[in-house]
Amino acid sequence: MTDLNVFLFIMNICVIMFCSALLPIIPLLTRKSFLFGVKVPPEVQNTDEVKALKKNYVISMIIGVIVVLAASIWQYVTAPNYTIFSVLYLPLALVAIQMFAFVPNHSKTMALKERLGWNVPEIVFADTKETFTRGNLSAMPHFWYVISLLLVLVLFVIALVRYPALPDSIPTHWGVNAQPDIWKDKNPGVVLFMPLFSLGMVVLMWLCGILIERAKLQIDHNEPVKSFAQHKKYRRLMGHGIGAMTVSVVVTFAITFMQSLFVGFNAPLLLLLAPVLVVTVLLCVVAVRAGQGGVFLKVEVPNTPVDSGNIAANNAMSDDKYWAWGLFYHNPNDPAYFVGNRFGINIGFNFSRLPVKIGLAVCFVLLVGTYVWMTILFASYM
Amino acid sequence: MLVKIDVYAEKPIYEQLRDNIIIGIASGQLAEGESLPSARNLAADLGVNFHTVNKTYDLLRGAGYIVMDRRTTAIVAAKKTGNLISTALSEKLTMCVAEAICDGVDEKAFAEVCTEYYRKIRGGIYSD
Repeated sequence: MTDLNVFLFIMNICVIMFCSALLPIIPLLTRKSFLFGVKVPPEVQNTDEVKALKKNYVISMIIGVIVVLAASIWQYVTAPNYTIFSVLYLPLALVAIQMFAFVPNHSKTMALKERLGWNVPEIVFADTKETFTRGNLSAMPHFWYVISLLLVLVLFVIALVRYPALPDSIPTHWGVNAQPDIWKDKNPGVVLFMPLFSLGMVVLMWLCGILIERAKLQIDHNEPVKSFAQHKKYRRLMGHGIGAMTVSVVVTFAITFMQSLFVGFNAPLLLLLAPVLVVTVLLCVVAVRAGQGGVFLKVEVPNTPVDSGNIAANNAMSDDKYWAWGLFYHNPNDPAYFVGNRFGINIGFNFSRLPVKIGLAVCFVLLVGTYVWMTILFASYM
Repeated sequence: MLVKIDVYAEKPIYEQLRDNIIIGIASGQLAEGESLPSARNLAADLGVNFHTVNKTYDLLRGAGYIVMDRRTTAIVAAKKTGNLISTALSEKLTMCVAEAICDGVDEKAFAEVCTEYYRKIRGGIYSD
């Protein structure tokens, strides 16, 4: 267990370091028309009040990271055998830090907007040639998923062909040193688990791909044509990113699975992690370089006449009211299911839609269930 | 064509949408026979109520600017011919003329502006 605890502890620290590097720069990636989930005029971003809020956020973030880091070290020093629980609950702690740093600044921004009378027009756009939020999925890079499914099919075939020749006991889990540490009795369920799990993974990633494809566009009203083009380019990039991620995950599963089927074949840990690591790093780099909805992407667009129409701006009626805490979108009038988040580069949901409510309730139950189950499982090993 | 809606303008959203589409057709940005997105899809992209878009499509269909194909897809109808001024158009023109007179625009200036706008939209260079 000691080796495992050291490994888990190092992993924990790496995750905390990675997040503490990434989370504070989120406001920089967010488009200029949003500040802590509040719609603001882009030109206020450089004012002293806003800089103070951003500083406040970074300080809260640093405090949060130090607390989590200290807790993690304290746990490791006092009760090293419980490191697995740290790994389990670390993501929740990171979400908590994010909320701790974000929500007070969101409230302050709302107050500031009211006090300084920032007016933001609410202009929305749609392209009659192409619908996005409910459009067809033909432009999605499906070939990544086809490749992944073919790989999974190959896994199934190899599993079935190898089955008669397999020994009575097969390895299903490998330790940090890449040596098998869990062996199970041979039966079809154990042998087919990995291909089935891979298949589930491909479906899940494909759903993520759809989410990206269908997320609502946030079109910049100053340059709508350019903004549309950036969104499309961003979508292509992210679609390929998730696709490549799917293939790399399946490849990793395939290599692991081969270790089960061909006893004696032990892949080095680096070979196992390399595909996923490479794609993750690439995806992060692309996401950071592209910015939220591709705001930093260069696109070729025809010169369009500058819009000079009258734009109404009504602060009191701003759609900020649809964003609880600046994080959760709830607009019963909007038929879209997915929306680009106002904070960060991820995608959120329209919580007013019934399918979204059902889907999220199921996910929530599964998440809580997984946590309870994992906690009980790990506790039983103590 | 890009549809642009100002959510908090005094003019209702369904009217803005109707105006967008009519200008699109008149300026050639929406060609005859071109299909428009379904009401639900357009509503989702704009983030407005589905019934709002439906209302616009109903109005446009009533005025003969679009036709519904198999009751689902809205298609841009052929431009009418014959110099017929409809009742609706006649009413709007009456108001335009009346307001122009109140604003002190004389007959010649009014006719010039009309010609200018007509040519602009016809030439496809109109931008809201």
